[in-house]
Amino acid sequence: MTQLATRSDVTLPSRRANPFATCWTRPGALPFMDCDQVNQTELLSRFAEVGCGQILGPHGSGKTTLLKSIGRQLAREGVNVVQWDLESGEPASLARLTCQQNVLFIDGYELLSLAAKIRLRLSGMRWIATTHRRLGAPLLATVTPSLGLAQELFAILTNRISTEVQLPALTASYHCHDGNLREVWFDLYDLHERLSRRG
Amino acid sequence: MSQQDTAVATQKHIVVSEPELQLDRTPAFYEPGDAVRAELLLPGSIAGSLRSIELSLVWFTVGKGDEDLYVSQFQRHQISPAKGKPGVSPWLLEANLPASPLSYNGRAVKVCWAVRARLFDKSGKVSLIEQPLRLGEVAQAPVVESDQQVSGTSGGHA
Repeated sequence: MTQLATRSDVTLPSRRANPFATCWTRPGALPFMDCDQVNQTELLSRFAEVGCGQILGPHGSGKTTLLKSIGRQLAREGVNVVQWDLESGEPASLARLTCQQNVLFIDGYELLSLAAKIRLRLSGMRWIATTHRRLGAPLLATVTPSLGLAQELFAILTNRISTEVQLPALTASYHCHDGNLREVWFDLYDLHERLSRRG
Repeated sequence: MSQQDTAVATQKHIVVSEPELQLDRTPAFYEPGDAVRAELLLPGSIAGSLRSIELSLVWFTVGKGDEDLYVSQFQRHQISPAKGKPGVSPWLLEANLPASPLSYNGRAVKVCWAVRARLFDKSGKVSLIEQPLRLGEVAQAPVVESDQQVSGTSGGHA
């Protein structure tokens, strides 16, 4: 969905009050930017060969963002992407989903029960999962956001909505949180709130 | 035609370069129970390509965590050739604002009210326009100087 520009009075509580609010930084709100480590075209080619795989990375590294991005690409190719929402429980029947046109996306493989993992492996279904550690499945991508990437995303956010938060704050937070971008955006959100409320 | 009539007639044929939601108050400050009136204006280049339009009055939360959204009033309009006339917008949303929740400019979470328009064009593309408004007058959360500073980010300057 395209978000068009709106006339916005900054004294009104609105989405435009803070460029680091969740609505702007959550997985899928920012684009996944290919880099030396991750190329989405190559990832999808590898997936087409092996039929399943994992996207590996620490917390806040962009795994879910990458998953959503390749999900959109697969959908454009006519593939039915089924999101396995682990908070809602496991799909009623994997057998019903097993179809060449379906790909199962699992965000957080470690949250699956042992029984679910076994059922998944035995189903023959195509799947992609995000993980924090290596599994016995093909590795499609390892996501580790660089400071340069964080700076590019910072530019996207701050070009959209002005802020007094500067790049040194981003750099300090990036190093403080070892590249966990989720925590970085939380830090910058708080800083923007503090700076914008100064007398 | 009187000068006033001319002004009214001119206002009804506002030409816009991009979709715009106009509220009936500037600034957009309202109290519980007030009526709010919003008009969607569309440029001719877009009006003809639309299949349907949704207008809604919503409140939602913005902040660091999960977001909530509640639709207070909703309208859906299918576009007919007559309604696609550029510069003249028949798309109006009129509603009475409830008693709560009041708009709140908090630090961790903000409660926001807005009129929203979703435009569905014939190719399937969906566009969103949002025009915020304030309900009530709750003082914004102040700065608390004793809050822990982000490491190395005091003031955020080089």
